Amino acid sequence: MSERPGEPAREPSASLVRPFVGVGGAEGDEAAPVRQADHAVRPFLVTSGRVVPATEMPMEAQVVTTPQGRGVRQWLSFEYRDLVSLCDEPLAVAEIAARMSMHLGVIRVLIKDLQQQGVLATFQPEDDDVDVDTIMRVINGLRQRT
Amino acid sequence: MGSDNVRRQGVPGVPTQRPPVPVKILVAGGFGVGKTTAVGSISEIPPLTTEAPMTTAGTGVDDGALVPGKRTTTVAMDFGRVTIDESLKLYIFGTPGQDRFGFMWSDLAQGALGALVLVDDRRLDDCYAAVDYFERLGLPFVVAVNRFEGVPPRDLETVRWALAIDDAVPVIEFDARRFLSVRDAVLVLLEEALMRARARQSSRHPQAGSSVGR
Repeated sequence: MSERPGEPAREPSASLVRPFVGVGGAEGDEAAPVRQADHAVRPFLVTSGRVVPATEMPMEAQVVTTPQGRGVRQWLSFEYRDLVSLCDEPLAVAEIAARMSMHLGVIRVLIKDLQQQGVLATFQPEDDDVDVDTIMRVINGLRQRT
Repeated sequence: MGSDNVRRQGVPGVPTQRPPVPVKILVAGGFGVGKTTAVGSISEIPPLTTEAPMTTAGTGVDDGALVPGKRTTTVAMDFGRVTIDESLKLYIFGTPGQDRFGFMWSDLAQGALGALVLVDDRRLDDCYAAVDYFERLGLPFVVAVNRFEGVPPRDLETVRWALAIDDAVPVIEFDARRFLSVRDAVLVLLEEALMRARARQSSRHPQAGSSVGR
């Protein structure tokens, strides 16, 4: 999903207030909070079978909460709220998954949900190939460590 | 230059300060060879663990019959982080234990600078699959023999011969428990990645050639 400058900020939708579809989700069900154990056992049920490909969101991609994301945090539920709190400072997708003890595949879906609502912003390099300048900076930075 | 090529997604009202650019290296090798130790030694934070989907190639035997094709399973990966500066972070991901039928680490390898393949010289064959994978992928890698206490060192050239790797691939020894040793091993890998990047740059811009001169 590419950035469109000039598009007005979207209001967070009502779906953010309710938990994402939980295990068993029948129509009209007020889904119960999904426990940690459920994530480990049935991650793809929790996300209704949705998958965000790794090419779209590498595990090292940086995620940060937007100003409007901070504003709506109090109305978010469960994992969405925890996610928004975690990303005040930029974190990698994998760091978020690890700190929330959640499956990386599930976290990608949650992040994408919030990204589409303008609550989170994700950043990753355009190119799979890292350029010479960047590699030099890593080398020099590491050399300085004692 | 790297930070200018950042793709930003879905962000009206995005904060104007860009987050750091992430770069990634892998630490591969057999079970118990010292991957998590190495990650922990260099990482500025205690290693984190994430569960991720991983596709394995080859046959699956869980259902009692040999079934050819791909299977997706959940694996745990340990990883760490080194903040280079406020605009650049290095992530170090340990590869999950390998399926002896083969594995496809495409999500891990995607966008990676390269891999340290750790070797226990008492169990060289544990790393064959990793070496083979990175060779086929064309990802820069370094073979790093982890020295365990009380084990007399094997000649590095013997390791090179036993693994049948190209002469151009560095074979080094290191101590996974020590920050400086792991750091130095990572530097050898980064030099390989740098050579590869310079060659790529030369082929794209023949006029610029190797005049990068830093």
